Amino acid sequence: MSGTLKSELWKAFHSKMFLLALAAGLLMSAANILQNSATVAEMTENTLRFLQEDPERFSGGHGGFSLFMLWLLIYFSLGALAFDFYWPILAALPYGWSYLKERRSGVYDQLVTRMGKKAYFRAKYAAVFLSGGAVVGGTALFDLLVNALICPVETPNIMDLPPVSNGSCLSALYFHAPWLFCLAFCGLAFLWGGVTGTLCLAVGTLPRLQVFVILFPYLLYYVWNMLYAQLRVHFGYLPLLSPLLLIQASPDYFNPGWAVFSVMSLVALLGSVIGYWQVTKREFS
Amino acid sequence: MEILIENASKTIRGAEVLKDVNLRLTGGTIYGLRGPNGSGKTMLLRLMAGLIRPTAGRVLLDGKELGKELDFPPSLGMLLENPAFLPEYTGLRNLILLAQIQNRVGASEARQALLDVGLEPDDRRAYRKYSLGMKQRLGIAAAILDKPEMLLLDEPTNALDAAGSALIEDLIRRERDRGALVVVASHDGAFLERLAEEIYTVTEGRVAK
Repeated sequence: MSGTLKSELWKAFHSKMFLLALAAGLLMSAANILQNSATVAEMTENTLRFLQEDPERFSGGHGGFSLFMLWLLIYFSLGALAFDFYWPILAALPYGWSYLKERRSGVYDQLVTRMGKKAYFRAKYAAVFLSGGAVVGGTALFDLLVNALICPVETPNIMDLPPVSNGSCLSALYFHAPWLFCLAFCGLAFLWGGVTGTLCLAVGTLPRLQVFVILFPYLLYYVWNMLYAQLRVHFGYLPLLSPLLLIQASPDYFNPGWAVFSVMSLVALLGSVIGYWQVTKREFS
Repeated sequence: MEILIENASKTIRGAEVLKDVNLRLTGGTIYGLRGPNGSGKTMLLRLMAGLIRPTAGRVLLDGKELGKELDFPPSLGMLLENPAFLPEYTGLRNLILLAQIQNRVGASEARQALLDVGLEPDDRRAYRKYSLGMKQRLGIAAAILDKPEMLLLDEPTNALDAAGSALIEDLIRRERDRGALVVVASHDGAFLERLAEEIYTVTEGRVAK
């Protein structure tokens, strides 16, 4: 690993903002886990009562409140809603702001004259991507593992009206290997967190305050989502094309795999190409 | 090492901040840039550092054009305007992070650079808690850290007391004796008279001896 990359990664993962973002993500997950604990306790009590009252009609399934129905990226608990809505901020918070801060403080001058602009961009991009991805993907993985200790684990059954529809992104895995489905979506959450964090580089030094850089991906996705909603009204049917919602494993609208990967690629392209131009070409004097 | 600036001008948002600058600077010499605030001293240093490109003319470093054949001078130490470091880390940690980039020097050189400017390497205080004078000293320590061939210092004695200024003057002379090309910008004429072998005056972007 080059000294440049090592130095950027050290700064990213030792940043207080990284810890703050991670804590916020885990708090959202904790809210989901708490609500799930209450749901599971209530459903277990109902099941036991049902067993006592009419044991012959009991199917024996727990699908309605299994892990694969209550996980953060599937369920709609308070914690899950907060995560669904605010995850772009979690992605930008760890290190997305660092370019603006370094440029305005003059640290950028010290760094680029030592490493060159391209190496600086590569290291900065990698550090922003990995730290944003670690928070978003890490929160999803943490929620999956802790919920697995609380919720029953049962392969989803179509009779339980699962939230993942046929043909949606990785749906075949959901019905046959749900653990793999969830782990794959943790990976996708990591990628979403990474590419979303790097959008901060695309705004460069245009905003004057760090807080606007952190909010930029969220505001962009929010506007994007509103435009998508208008297009949906106009066309009647449209697969999900809003990055804000595409992180979910079971969004309200149809999310085919091609839509997930196309929109993610577009976001990655925005972050990398405009970010590259901002960092290496735009003169700041 | 030689810097050759040929007919360099720089326009920023319609304002010409450097006007037809011609300079030839060589290693082992201390050059002074004198002029009032806003005269273009810092812009000239930024031009030499490769941080801005001339709108017209060119800057050659040992015959290679900055911005075309070279992005930045390959061995450069600088303190431009205010010292810039990561506020949450100690002075030593900041220097080690800088040293890691090129891997030319390590922690022991970072400690030595701090001692050279009169700072304590084991000081546990974060940079944000440093006094102005300490920040200035750390900025100079970062500039000399890699033993650069070219040293650009903008108002190096800002916020320093008389003893601190004397220490830095001595340090700059040692860098010159090592063979470095040193350019010092200051509005303090007496300081430059004591230190520099050649002094240029910068007035409204024009440079004259």
